Amino acid sequence: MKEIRLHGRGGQGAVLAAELMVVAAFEDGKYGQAFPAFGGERRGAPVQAFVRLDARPVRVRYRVNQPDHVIILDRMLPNTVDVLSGLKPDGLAFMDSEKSPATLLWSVDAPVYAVPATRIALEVFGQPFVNPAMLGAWAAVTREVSLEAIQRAYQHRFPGSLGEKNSRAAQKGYDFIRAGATPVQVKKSEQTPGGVIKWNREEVAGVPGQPLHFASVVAARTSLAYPTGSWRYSRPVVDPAACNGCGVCETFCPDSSLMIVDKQAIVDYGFCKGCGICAEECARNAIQMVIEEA
Amino acid sequence: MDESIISKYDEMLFTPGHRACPGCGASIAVRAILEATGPDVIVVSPTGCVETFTAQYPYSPWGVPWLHVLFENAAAVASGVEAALKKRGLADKVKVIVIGGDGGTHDIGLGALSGMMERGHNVTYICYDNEAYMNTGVQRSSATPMGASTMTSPAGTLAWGKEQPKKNLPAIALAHGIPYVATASIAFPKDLTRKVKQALAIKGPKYIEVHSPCPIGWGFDAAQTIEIARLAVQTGLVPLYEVSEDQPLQVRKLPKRVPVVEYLRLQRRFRHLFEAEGRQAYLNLIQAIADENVIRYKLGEQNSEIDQN
Amino acid sequence: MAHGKLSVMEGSMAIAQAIKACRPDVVSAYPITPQTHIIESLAQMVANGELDAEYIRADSEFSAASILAGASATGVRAYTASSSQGLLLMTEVIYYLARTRLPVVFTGANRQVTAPIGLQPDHQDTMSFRDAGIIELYVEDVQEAYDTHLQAFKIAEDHDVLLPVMVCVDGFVLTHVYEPVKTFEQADVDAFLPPYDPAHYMTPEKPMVFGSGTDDLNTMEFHYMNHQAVLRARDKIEAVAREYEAMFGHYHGGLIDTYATEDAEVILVAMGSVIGTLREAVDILRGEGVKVGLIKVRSFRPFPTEALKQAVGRAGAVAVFDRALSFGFQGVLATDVKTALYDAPHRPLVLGLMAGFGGREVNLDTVREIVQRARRALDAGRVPHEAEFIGLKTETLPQVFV
Repeated sequence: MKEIRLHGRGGQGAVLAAELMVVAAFEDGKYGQAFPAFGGERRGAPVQAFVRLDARPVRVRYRVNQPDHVIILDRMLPNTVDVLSGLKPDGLAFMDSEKSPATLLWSVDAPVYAVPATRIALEVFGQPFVNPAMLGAWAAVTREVSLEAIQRAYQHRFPGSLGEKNSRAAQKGYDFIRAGATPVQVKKSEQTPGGVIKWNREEVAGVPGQPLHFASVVAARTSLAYPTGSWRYSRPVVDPAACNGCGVCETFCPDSSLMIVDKQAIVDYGFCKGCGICAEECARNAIQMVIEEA
Repeated sequence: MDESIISKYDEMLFTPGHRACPGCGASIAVRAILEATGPDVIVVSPTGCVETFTAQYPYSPWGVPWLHVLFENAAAVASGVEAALKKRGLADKVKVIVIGGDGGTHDIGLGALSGMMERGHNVTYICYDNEAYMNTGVQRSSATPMGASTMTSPAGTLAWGKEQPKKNLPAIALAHGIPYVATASIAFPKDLTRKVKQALAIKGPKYIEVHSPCPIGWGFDAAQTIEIARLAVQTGLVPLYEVSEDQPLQVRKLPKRVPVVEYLRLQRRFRHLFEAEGRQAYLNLIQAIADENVIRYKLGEQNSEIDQN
Repeated sequence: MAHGKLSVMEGSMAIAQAIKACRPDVVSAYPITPQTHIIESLAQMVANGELDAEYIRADSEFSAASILAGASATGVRAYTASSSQGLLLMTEVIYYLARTRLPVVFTGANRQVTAPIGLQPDHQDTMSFRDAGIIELYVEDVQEAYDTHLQAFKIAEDHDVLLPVMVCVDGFVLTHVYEPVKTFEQADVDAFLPPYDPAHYMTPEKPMVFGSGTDDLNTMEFHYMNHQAVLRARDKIEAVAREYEAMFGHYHGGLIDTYATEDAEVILVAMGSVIGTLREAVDILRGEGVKVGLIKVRSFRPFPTEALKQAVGRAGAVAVFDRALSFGFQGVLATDVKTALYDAPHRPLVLGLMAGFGGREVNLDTVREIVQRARRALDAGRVPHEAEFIGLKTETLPQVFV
């Protein structure tokens, strides 16, 4: 049995990719299961999905804790989520990135294939639908599932031109590997992925890092220990010369992570989710959204 | 992080680190509401988006006491909070407000809300209206507008989305004879803050409905949340008004009205109305709702006092 | 010891007198028979200025319970009463109150559950909260109803417990009966029950968040803590009953009460208002030389496992009177009694008897018949059926059931 864990962010299609992996494997005569991590999904929040593939029906039903393969749909994730947690010694990882993954934070040594899935998606769709190229690359390396079965699964799921585009993106991911791409051997980082802001208040219960409160009561403002900056695809950058501190951006920030200090808009990138409302609403065009690079 | 920001967090009533989707309209509403209440308040929320994204043990952005019990009882819970504050001699110092979504207000919580209003509790009930059950993945509520496609009122070859118009809950609240009812929009946060302040200054039950677009559920780019909310007001689909004992009806006038199609075509939930033949009749129906609002709420006249901030 | 005043009054009035003496800050109310006289009496007390409480006429039992949740979370003492469907409508809130550890006190005036709709007393309504995480106490007469309500707040509000308590009182049989009952002076009750000292409550001075979401990483721990609190209540229920006895001279049992069990061959187990009839029957049968005894289960949750094992001793047969049925299985109390006695040193035969179910009368003849069944089972060395319906009129059933 092969166990695969997909890491993405809400809205990126990790759950869909997991589903289509099993559909494709079934086309090739295998059995499998795909399921999401339980819980509410928020756009941009880190999410996981799990896949098991086998020659016989899969019976176990729990999360994939020791994956053979890890597929990372977002190049920003490794710095905040321990994506390689439990990876088997001979395990492989696949990540959407055009850059070397060596500079990111990793919890173990592992070979990581960097697949330019975003570039492929922008070429094919004009939008960052990364999962078909990632599945194509994964299939080319592991040969768990044929490329044709993956393409058929996408075409069945998205009839018409969208299915064709997905099929083409999967082919490009596949071809990228067959053209001789090799994995980068990443090293365990000194810093741990997913570290949180240390809680330093005086509360003894109902706060992070302390015993549970007997009635599940939570203390005030503990979300300050839950940075959401990793949800961001692009960051607002303030032009100090153009900003007059009017405060429209602060009022409209859904995440309380932009405020006016000394007549200047200051963004807390630890929390900003990059929605872009501030840039959109700024009457002086003092804020520009800039794509995040890991 | 910038030290000048960190030092501000200790006083904030709604800190960052909550889990709302990027561009969430409801969290903009919450911030404008707390701007009006200040720290001496107890907030009750029913189950819903705000509840889910602000309270996952042990993380919470609330800097004020906040209570979630169930989906359908926020107004009853608030009644109990208010009664307890009276007994503790805090009724004049601590305000009680509800911040609930349209599902918990227009649908499952309406009985409790009606009871609270009828009994006359000193509670300000504020509904952040994102026009569907967003927390469970975009299903139709009775506040979903006519024509919107949701997961349980999908457009299809035989269907064009929700067939019924939006439930007029402010009118139902008014029918209870309560002293203050208002509508507001996150596109006009100062107006919203002022209305909440106004409500808090009046004793008895108050109802405020805040139009709060949802980028995920409505299908638009997260950066467009305010623009969408603004257009909803400018078309006349979301009339902004307030009714109190002193002032029969005050409205935000619409000197230049925007046709509804300019609001609808920006949203995926209405996309089907622009894709198929013969859907013009439905667009006309929606335009008619806006036109009727202009007449009913006198949105076009110039003689009534308006707040244009 | 407090003297008190003995007078004849209706059960509902006695309960209302007890509640008044407990000085609740918030009382919510929604009418449903047979608890209505309780909330009516409290309404009149408030109207007359005898009770200084916020009295809230809710729009449903669901709202009535929700109002208590809000009040209790704001740090005050809160109470309501209901029955049957009304209690079931409160179900969601009652689970919430247990897990958020809000010590609200309820009176459950027992009544059959619809359908068919009816007013007969059985325990199907309150016993449906078996797994909600609350404390349930069942009383046998009006005096115990009065006394147990005074004890209920003290148990609920103990910081080692902090749980809702439901005092279960058989509808009509106890709510509508007039009998002598001793009530106590306010000063004496105040000496017994101090003002509520909340451990966690909402105040702007120290903001807290109630009712947050949990996941698979901590949900079990919160449930476990609720479970431990209910278990801790075992000692507290007994201690409060003894403290009450010392102050007021009344003791109705702690987790259980026993009657003539020492050398008994057959022991009857029951809850609620049937206990008085059973005490009388035991005396009569003992007079006839039948070695029969009685165990009153006073605390259904926490369940008195150890006390029950000890009290059963070497008895050969235990006959359980059940007024609630787990459809498709057997009587609810019988199930628990069997579980508790599974590893008893001398495991007896246990007869599960649907007696008093749907309000069907249990009188001395019924008891006599049940004791005979128990003795036949002893002779045979086995129990014929896991649930026997006592007094079932088979002649009225359609042919297929006979």
